[in-house]
Amino acid sequence: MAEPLHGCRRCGLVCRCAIVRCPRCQTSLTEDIAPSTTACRALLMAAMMLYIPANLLPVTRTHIVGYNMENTLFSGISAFWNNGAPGIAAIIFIASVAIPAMKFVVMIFLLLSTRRGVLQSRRQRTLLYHLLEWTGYWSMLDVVVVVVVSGLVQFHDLASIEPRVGILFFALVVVLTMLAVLSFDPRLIWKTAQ
Amino acid sequence: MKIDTRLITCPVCGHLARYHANQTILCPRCRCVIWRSSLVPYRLLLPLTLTALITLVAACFSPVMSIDAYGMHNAVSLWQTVSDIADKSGMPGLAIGVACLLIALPLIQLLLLVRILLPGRERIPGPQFITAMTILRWIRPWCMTDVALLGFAVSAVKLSDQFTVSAGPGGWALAVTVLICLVLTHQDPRRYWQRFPLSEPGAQNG
Repeated sequence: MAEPLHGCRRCGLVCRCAIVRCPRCQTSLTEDIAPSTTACRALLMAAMMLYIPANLLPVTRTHIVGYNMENTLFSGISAFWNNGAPGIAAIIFIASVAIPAMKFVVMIFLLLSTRRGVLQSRRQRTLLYHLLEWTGYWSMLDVVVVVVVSGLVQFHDLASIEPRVGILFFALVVVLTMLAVLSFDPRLIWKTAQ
Repeated sequence: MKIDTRLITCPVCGHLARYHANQTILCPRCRCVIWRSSLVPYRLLLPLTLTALITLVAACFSPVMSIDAYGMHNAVSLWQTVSDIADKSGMPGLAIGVACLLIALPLIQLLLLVRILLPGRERIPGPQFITAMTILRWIRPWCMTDVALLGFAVSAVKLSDQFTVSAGPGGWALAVTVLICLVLTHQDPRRYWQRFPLSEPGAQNG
């Protein structure tokens, strides 16, 4: 047969045809990979800058009869650790401090290695990318906790917890990092292999 | 044009691989999942989606969690959690963002799935179906009902040493939503495309 064998990456259909669009999902079969990583780099840079205020500014303000306290992300974790809940301290530390930082490092590594056209360990790098995709959104956990806690603890003048601006920065870090990861096309890793 | 239903394309590296519907396969070249098999029969997906829609709406409007202290009782539903933030924190952006991630996008995801799963007689996907699949792919990473559930659980632990914490009916509804959404997002989206085999009946495999 003279017609070439085409495989559609989106819906998986394989057909022997001379057309340029997938007959099922209409995706272009000859579509070229967007060679640019500009968006990814810009988003990553913005996320890294916002990571600083997210960790330094208070995320909540606790008011319980007689005392007022502003908590940063880190002081919340150490409170859990000192109050005998190391498990929860570990979960929050991993989800809100370690994972965002790790994501920056991995993303920079992926960007640098695809830019240089490194051919080694392409499989491992693809796996790493999918790991980033998968762990990404669990960092949002801390934002949800702050929102829920401040929604529940509302006892007028007796006790109340309010979200502070730090949590907004933190949410932005998570969203921007997720956008950066999503805007990176893992096919770039395989570009030179074709 | 000749369709080869025994082959499937790797979404990442474009490698063509042989496949069977009831067997998960990894790409021999890049080790990505090319096809993820599922134990859930196709005809169960629509009822599951509808159930998740109902329970998600229930979690929005009935109390998920409540605390007691100082002789007072505070209960919040998913919706109240978000509207509280908008009211008192002075950060409407945070409220809108959280509302999208926890309520709006999961709802849209389920509604799109209903549209995709509704049986029809078309032989090839219509433009509406293709649009629904495209939006579904975009919003998939932003549906965070499971993060919401874990967030409520962590908050419960956080508050339990100072307050009496109890789960409300909305909490159970949210748990059911999360379980069903896990099953639904585990489905390979290509399963929905394969409703349209595009080849003559009998020529199919698996």
